[in-house]
Amino acid sequence: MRLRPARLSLAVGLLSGAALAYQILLMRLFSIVQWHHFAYMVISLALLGYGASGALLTLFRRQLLDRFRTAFALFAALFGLLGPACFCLAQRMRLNPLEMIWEPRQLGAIGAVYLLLALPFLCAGTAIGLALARFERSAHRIYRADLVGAALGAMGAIGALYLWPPATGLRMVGAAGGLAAILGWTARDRRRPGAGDEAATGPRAGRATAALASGAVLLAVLWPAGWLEPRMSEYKALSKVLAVPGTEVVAERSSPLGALAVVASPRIPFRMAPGLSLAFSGELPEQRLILRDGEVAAVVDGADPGGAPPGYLRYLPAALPFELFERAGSRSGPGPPLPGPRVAVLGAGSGTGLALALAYGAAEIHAVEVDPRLLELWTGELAAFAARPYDDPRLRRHAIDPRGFLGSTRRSFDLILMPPVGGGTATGTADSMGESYVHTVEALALAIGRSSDHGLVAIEGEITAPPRVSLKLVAAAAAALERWDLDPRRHLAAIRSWSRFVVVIKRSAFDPRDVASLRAFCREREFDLAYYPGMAAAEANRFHLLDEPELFRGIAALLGPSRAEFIRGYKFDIRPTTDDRPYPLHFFRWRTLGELVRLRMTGGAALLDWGYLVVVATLLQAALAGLVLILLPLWWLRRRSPAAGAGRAGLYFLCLGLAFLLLEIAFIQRLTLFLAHPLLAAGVVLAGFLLFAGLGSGASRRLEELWPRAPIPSVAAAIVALALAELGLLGWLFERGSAWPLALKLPAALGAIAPLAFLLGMPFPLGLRRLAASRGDLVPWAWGVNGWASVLAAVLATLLAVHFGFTAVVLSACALYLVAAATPP
Amino acid sequence: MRCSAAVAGLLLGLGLLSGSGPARAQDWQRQRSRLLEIVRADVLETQRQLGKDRLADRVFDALGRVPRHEFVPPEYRAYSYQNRPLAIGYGQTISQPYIVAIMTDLLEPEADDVVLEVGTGSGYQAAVLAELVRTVYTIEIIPELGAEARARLERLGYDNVAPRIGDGYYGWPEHAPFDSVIVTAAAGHVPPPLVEQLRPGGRMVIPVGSPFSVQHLMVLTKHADGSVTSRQVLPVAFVPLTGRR
Repeated sequence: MRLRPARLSLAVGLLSGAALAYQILLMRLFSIVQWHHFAYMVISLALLGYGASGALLTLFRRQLLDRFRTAFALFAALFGLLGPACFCLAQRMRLNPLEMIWEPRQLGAIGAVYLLLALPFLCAGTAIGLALARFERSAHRIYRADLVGAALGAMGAIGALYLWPPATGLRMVGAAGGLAAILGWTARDRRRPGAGDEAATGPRAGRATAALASGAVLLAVLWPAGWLEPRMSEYKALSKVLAVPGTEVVAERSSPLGALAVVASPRIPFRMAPGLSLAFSGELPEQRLILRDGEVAAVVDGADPGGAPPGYLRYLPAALPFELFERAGSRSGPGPPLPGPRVAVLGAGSGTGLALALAYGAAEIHAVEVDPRLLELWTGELAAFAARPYDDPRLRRHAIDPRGFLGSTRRSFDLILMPPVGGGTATGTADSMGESYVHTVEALALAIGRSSDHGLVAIEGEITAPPRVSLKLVAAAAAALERWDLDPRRHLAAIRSWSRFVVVIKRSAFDPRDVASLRAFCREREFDLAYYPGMAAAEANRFHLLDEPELFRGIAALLGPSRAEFIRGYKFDIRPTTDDRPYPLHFFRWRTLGELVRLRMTGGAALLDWGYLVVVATLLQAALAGLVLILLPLWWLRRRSPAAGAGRAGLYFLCLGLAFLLLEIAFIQRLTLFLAHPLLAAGVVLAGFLLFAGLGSGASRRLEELWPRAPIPSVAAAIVALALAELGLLGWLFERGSAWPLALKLPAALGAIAPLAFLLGMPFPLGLRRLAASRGDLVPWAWGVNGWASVLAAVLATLLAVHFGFTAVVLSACALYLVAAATPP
Repeated sequence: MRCSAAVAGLLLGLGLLSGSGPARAQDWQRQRSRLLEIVRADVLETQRQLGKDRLADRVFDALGRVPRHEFVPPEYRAYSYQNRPLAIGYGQTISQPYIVAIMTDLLEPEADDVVLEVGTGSGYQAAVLAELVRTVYTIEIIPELGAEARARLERLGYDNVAPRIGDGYYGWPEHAPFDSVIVTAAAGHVPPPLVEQLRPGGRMVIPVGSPFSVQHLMVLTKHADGSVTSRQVLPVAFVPLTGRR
């Protein structure tokens, strides 16, 4: 039977796009239901469904190819049906990852969730892999449709998340699966009929498949809304807050950056004041909370009828930089009062920094917030409650990523408030694998450069015992100061309350009067001094007593000549965070694992770096699953005929799967930093990458015709050369283009990745066609190996970046392309 | 006939499984004793951080008397005497016995003390304290949890525990000052009214961390002059921090 390739390509593209959109939606939904890193593990392993599709195709290749049209439509329709259904069922598994260390049954629940969520990917992968096997000689067209479809799916999912809640996206994915099935089913070329599909399946099977496809489309509309709504873990802050009588969600926003909920509690007031001084005896104002994906993202103080700022703000550790500025001003002698500070509040949507700037009479406030939905709440539903802070004439809004703001602004500020390290909370669920480009050496160096002659840069964070967040930050601050040839011992100070610490970096050296102000502030507020130039250890432990003044000793060691030795010897990884290794909450060291596991019942569980261990567990599980998915079909093939060439082909497609994803992830990371709008950047860059790779795949046939002798080694060599060149080019782009408008940055970023992505799209179809010519039965297996390698690569990229940096990720990918070039199938 | 015999056999079997009252009670007691040994060993292991190698005998006696299985949801009853936290609903847990033991010991309870607890939860901590002090006042913000705890404590005869449903932030001024305060609910900051209601020389204990893993315990001491200092107690024996020390 003849098929219409254009219609089939459309079906493949639609299905591939729907599968990628499904992946993005699941990530979003599980970040709401659970926590980000568990979502990451669940979705990564579910993607092994793609790898499993290779096994399925290998085992049933002949039967499925004989009924190609029916089989394609059937699997596409099943994807449409199972996508929403499996999410519904996975939500009912009573998964509580927090309990995993105590409750082995949770492992069973996680396993069940993997399997459920892998099913839709298995179906999509089988349909696409089947199309590749059916059209093995024109694999470049199918692969192009697959990549271009995925690109559009990524853009579509991100766009849809701006417009609708994720549950609506699930319906669309379901409908897209059904439509892909209908397109595949109707791809028969009626003008050129031939034997095949109907002969093998019969009209009844055909009608059933058509009904299933239509059913998937119909059901997408009819799914009960309650079934698709995310059910949040009872251990997330929003669930707990809503258990308190009288609390209610008064406003909501949803975007790809997170689901925001504003909660009011008129009967039992919220009282959020992180690290508040024990010397404070007043009342807190009425507050509302903004929660992102169920965790507290912002505190909004209610306006005082008399217009007075809330008194508690002056008793927060975060008030330190304002107090230092104010006390310095009050020393200047008689005369008119000095103007207030020019303040940049990075991450202003969280509320406290902005409230402090207003309370301390800032002359100029630059409020930088990347999430437009958060700003919408402040200027919309919360405006009247919070006395319209964004209408204040001193305030300027900047809807940009804080790092992008630091890179692009040409102003200087008296005070720069960086976002808190790890956000406002650290309840043991903070994402230790979360990237942050505002707490890196480079970002702090930029901030120092943007501060005025006597300006201060302040960063706060949660106290951990033993100290880790604070010390890693100080290590980065010291390195940043040294970039300006400033002695960190004279330009840094730190304090701590019982739960928060604050580090301040001063462009000019702290003088004795600054030190006097610092000591007075701490004495009055009953905060402890953690470091100032010339401080003695005896001063470090007055109000909040520790067995040892560990924070002071740690800071003193980090600022002194033994820094490297101290970092090497410390039990946690407190190496400074850099743009190449942007993980400010990663502290895990393998040498402590045994000790922590042994002590897990006696508090050690709280010190285990869960985010990191989850990534390692994901890698191990993916590797084990891969052995089954790869070796089982190979064993099956060997039973039937000698699998000559399988090892070589397997290595080739393994290297390609790993290397493609490693490069893609590394360059998306780099360009996201350049573009300064993380989500838009990730969407555009991901889509651009896939799109150009798709075009490259389409052009691979032509290349083979032009250059028939050695296309694979040539392409691999070009990829390596270009990837290495772009590492340098992107560094140049960051330096020169950080202040460019987005309209210029976007084409620059796409222009930078286009040639590389175009080339990256070629080795897969080139290899597949060679394999088809010699061992056609291995094509589905190669598809499975490639799918499995892609899952491994996503996890490996994170681990490599954590330990060695993103440059190492790029270099590893280059090495893999060279191995692939040496072992073409 | 065969059917009714099978039902009778099943009932008999269930009866044997569930055990007669005294036999089951002995079993719980045995499990409780084993748990205490585990907690003693854990305390010994973390002695450097706790500043002592054993807790007060009175504290262990109290833990040995309180039937933890009565405070645990039926589906988790089999784990009652394992040294682990257990979910009790509404995002709350019944704390790990090792942590309960340390927190109770840190309060240094005396027989004549009056203690305030903020965050009743299942009522287990209140019951342990009730074994040691004159009166325990306990406040729970979630009505369902508070009502369950009240009924449970009444049923078990803890008549020196006074539970209340409400906002613990303002403490219970009618019964202040308290010899000690224990705040088992998550606290963004230390509520000033609770510090105020603490007797000079009194102590307040606050666990810091997530529901399933306490990171550290904060102990506040109110001095005779009304000033307050806090101390951090780390339950994990994680030392030394650097290779050189």
